[in-house]
Amino acid sequence: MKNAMQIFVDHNLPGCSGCRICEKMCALNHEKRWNPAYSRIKVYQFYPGPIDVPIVCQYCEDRPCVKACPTKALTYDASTFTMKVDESLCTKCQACNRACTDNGRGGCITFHPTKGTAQVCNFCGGDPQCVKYCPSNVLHFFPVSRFPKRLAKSPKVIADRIADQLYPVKKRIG
Amino acid sequence: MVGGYAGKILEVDLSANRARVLPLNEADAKKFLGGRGLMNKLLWDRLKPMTQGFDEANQIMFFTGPLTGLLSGNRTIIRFKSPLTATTTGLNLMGHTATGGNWAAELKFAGFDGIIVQGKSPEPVYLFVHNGEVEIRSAKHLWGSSIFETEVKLKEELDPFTRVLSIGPAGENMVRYACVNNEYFYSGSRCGAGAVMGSKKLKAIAVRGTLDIPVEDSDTLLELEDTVYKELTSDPATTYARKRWGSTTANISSSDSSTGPLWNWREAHWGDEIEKGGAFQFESRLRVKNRGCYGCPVPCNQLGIIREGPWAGSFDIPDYDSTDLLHPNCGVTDPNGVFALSAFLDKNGLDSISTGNTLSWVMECYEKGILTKNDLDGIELTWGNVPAMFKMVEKIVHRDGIGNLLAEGIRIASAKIGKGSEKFAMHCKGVEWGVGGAGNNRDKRETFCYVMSDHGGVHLYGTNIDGQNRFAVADSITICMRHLGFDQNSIQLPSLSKALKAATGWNLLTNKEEFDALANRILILERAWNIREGLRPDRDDILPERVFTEPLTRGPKAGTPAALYDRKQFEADKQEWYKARGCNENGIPTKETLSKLGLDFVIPALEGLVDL
Repeated sequence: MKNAMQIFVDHNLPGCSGCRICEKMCALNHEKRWNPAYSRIKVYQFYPGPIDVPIVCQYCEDRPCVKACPTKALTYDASTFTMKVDESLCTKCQACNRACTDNGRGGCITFHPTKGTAQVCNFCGGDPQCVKYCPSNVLHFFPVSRFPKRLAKSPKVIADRIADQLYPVKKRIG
Repeated sequence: MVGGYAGKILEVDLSANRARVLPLNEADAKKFLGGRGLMNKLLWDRLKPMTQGFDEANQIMFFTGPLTGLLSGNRTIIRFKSPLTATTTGLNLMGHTATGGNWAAELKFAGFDGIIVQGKSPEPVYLFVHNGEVEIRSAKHLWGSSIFETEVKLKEELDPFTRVLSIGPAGENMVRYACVNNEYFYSGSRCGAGAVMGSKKLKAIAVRGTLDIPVEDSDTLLELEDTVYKELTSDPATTYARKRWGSTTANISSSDSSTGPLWNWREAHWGDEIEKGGAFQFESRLRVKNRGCYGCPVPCNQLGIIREGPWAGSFDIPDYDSTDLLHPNCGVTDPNGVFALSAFLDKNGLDSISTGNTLSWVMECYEKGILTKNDLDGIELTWGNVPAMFKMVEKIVHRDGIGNLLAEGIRIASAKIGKGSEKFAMHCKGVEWGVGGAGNNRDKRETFCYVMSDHGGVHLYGTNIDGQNRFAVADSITICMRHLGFDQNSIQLPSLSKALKAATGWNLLTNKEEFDALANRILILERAWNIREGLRPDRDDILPERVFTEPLTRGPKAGTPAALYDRKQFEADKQEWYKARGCNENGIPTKETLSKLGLDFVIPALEGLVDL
């Protein structure tokens, strides 16, 4: 990639439909497996709703995950503008994801279901499959000059914000 | 092991409080695919003849198929001895229902093709299925909770990514048309699946999985993912309409073309009144966004919320059938009322189609003086009276007073009440009519869809031979019926065949003849099973009196022959179906048909019962 890019997740109406094609295509592209557990993007579901919140790495400029990695398995490659995981160095400690959530962000790093190593979005080398197949126009791929952390929020915070926007009535079950 | 399938079936015996894993019978899988077809075989093999819906010996099966979790496959098919479907003599028959959402795919990721639940638990329990294992856990803390509360609580208890299929208070109280829901609103509503779960004291099945689905040829299947995505969105106009309105536009179009239900199916055309409900009212007042099932490129469920009035805050996903039966069929003119009722039914776990029919039948009885205010425990159930409908639903859910009788379904209720109310009890084989497809057409479509269906008056049996075949195969591969129309926005047969080949390695459905033969095998086995369980087509394949005797007086069909179904024509249409399916004039599959379809194993069981 020539520019720094970002997958922009649009939480405005019409929102994510929760079909999880993004998860399916991500797992297929990276691991060739029909199993969304291998996906780097994750759709959370909240009630009332269900409100669906896709969470994927927003490429924050300060990168607390990279700083937290004790073995430097997780790195940012400034020449290609992508995050990389060196599986041979990864100790499966999950400190990267904890750093992400502890800093009030999405917790976007997933872990290989059998090996336990970290998995992070690398834009599929410039053609992100989740964006390509999203049927609801929620995912977009944009070049950016700086990385706004606006969307690097926890899914619960995003869901609450959507709920306030969509349901101008008292939230309750039923 | 063959690809496409997880290769394992989970058998849970609630009486003995134990579970075991059965291997998938590959020969049967090749013959019946999965889902509906495979469960027909399993029901034939496993269920003791003449078991009734609420018997301890009854078994309820939740199955997926070879393409579930791959491509756009996402349907859970549920089959069981239904407490609602019955012959005219009251013997229970096949129960069938299907639901979308994420549950089916998750079950496959958890390592199972299906779950068979048998026996009865003394205490409320739920199942937690995860990565090839199962736990039978106490559900005492969930018993009495609504479907929404159950799902929220279980997700908190287990894992936010758990997919939950549960019943509400109606299922617990064994209301004969109680539904099962997953993902809050995705309802497997027909034939009383929820009542069977309730009778077994099974509150919910929670599933979580991170296992792979093995496939035979992943490169080809990966290419097909793209092909199928394009085929399913081939027509931009259909894609747009489905994403924006889903099926609810049909409320208006069916009334306009005189095929919808109005006032307990007495009429079919409501004129301008119909505009007070339906897609555009829902959209402008309620719509929030669309929701989709796993892997579907055309998410067609419309999530809505009521924003003002007494029911503000009610969430639901209304669809054509549930809203049409509650809206024109009960004469309701308040779109918020229809939506709130639909939400209330989902929350309590009642089938909105059967409930809509039951309420409209009571309304007509009330109007005609067959049931009085006193009979109805003081509720004035007049046409369109939404608060009274709420009160009545509450009574049905808790089987309180008159609700106890109505909870049995209108077949039993109308037989008990009598006084001519059977003539407008709109059910076939005990299952209240759905509307999509056959609707209030009063012609061959009703015969094919409602009468010939082996699980009663459901709307998704198919209104012609081709449609029935497509639905049978879709339910067996477990992809959405809308994805198998072979028109625009549908998987085409060559891609389907290639996908099955890539997933399983088997050459299946390579041409239309093979496709039809497979569908016929599935449908005839269903019929044979029902015959073993007491169905006699010459006696039981009947329509309610209303369609023969009370002509439509409103709309384009009024005064034309289409306003009434001719009895002779009905007999001719029945014979046409029997002939097309290889049955004799009494509706019994012939020996030649059974042998040709590879169903020889049913011949000995049927021989003593009927003339083959």
